[in-house]
Amino acid sequence: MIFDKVLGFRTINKQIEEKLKQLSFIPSKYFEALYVECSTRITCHTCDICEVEEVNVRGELLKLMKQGQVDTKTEIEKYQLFQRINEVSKKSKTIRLLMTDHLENMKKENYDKLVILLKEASVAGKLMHYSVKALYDNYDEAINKVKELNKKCNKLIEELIAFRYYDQDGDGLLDYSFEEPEVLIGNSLRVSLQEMINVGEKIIHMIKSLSYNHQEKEVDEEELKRIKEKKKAKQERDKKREKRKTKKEKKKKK
Amino acid sequence: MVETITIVLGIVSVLLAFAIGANDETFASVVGVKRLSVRTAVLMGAVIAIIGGFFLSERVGKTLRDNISPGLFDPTKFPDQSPILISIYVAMAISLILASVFGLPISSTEALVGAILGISIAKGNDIIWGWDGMGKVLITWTTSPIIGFTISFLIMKGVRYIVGKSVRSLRQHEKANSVFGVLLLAMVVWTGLSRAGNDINNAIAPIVPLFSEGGDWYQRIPLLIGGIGLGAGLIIIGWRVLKTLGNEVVELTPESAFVTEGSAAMIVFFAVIIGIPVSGTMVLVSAFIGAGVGMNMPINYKTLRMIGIFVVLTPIISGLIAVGCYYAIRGFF
Repeated sequence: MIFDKVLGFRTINKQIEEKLKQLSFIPSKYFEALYVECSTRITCHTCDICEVEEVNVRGELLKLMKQGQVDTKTEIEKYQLFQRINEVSKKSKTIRLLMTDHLENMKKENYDKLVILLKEASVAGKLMHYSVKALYDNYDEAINKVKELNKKCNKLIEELIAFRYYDQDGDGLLDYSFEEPEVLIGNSLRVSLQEMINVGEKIIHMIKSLSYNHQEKEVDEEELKRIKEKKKAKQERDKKREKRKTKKEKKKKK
Repeated sequence: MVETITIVLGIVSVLLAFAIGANDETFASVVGVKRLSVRTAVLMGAVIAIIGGFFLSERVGKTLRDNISPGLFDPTKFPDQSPILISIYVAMAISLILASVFGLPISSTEALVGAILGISIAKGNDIIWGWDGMGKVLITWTTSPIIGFTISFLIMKGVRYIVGKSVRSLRQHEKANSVFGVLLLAMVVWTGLSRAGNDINNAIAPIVPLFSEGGDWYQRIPLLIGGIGLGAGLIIIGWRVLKTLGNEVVELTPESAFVTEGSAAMIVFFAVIIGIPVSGTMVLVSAFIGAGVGMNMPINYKTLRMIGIFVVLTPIISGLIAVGCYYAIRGFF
């Protein structure tokens, strides 16, 4: 009975792992399908399939997590990760609704820009999926993937700010409204990207709290920073010396 | 024909065993890391308590009865056994209640030894202070928490070093947790057996001589009823302690629970085998602290100081209560 339970926990853990990976891949697929739908303006059923898949996977994961050891530290962390991935999926659905509803109300340029951003969001979603996958495979790889994810998301958020603070009439003054479709879609996309960053943050938090030698890693990173700073300082000193030397040489020549 | 006082003392000792079982926290860690449900842990704990009490408690009981104050429980030397035994039980009960009021984990073993010493002094009976008697007990009481702390600390450091080197992903972390979970179960069974062998004597050691006239199985009746009392306490009330400690208070990871239980089991088992009444609670508390320090966790020194003071005061208070109680009731017998 006891061994059944122990073995049961292990199989449940494996199933949770698979489902979490599956769930984390849905936003990427969804954004890609949405990009196709918006760029071709033909209804893409992959989006609907993704929505159904997301609901099913979420339900299955909840069932599995209830069967597992919900109260332990690892399980709580996994459950919080699951919640954050859910948030990404939730926000992406509203983007689809807004894109279809406000298709006619937007300038073509802005619409095209948003479509391209959707494609980029799909890439960010893939990075999020790779981060979750790497969390189960290798902590170091996961840290790198999260860094990539953060870079990508921050870059996209910066690009989205252009929609929120745009100059509509070209008079050089910022005139925007939060009810403008570009702003509404841009904000939803930004929230979705922000949720992806949150997933990344959760992964880093999990690595720090579950890994035994994360403190050593932090020390190493600090040391690396110090070494870099020292190198920079040396380079600056060398440059100054060179400048002084050249000045002296010039003076001597004169 | 069994005397009425034997039956009464038998019932009192079963109640004491029941109380010790009701407050047994051995299986809390395994419930805390969700390896066992409260129900399974309680049933398993009860069976282990009966087995451990029946097979492992004899030597510790002999030390308590014969080596600390020889002849104190001999009816031919001291015919007034009833007030002696009642005083010892009352002293133990009051000491344990006092400690519970302050919310501190104290040892019933210490309370029992303190009561035996108090009565011995009051009755003018000789106490063996050398290595064969109290010397061995006192040295073990002093060293067992230090050893518990050191072993737990070293094992925790070792475990963290090995696991830190080998665990590089969440999947490996979960595998390690499963392995530690199985190891923890083994350690908890070991601790349960050892602690039952030790703790059961706190309830039944004084009444064993009352069953000395009879066959081998008749003499083992106190061990059996003590074990049943311990198991019943765990089943009827102990589940609440396990539920509270396992689900609400104790925040343990499988590896820290394994280290704590493993260290405690090692020390208590060794003490039981050589027949020294050791404080299982103190060993477990020191092992907890050792594991905590090994994990670089902060320690509440104020609580630690309070526990230390009560460790020293428990035998003294218990001894004084036993003496007071003895003089108060001896006129009734």
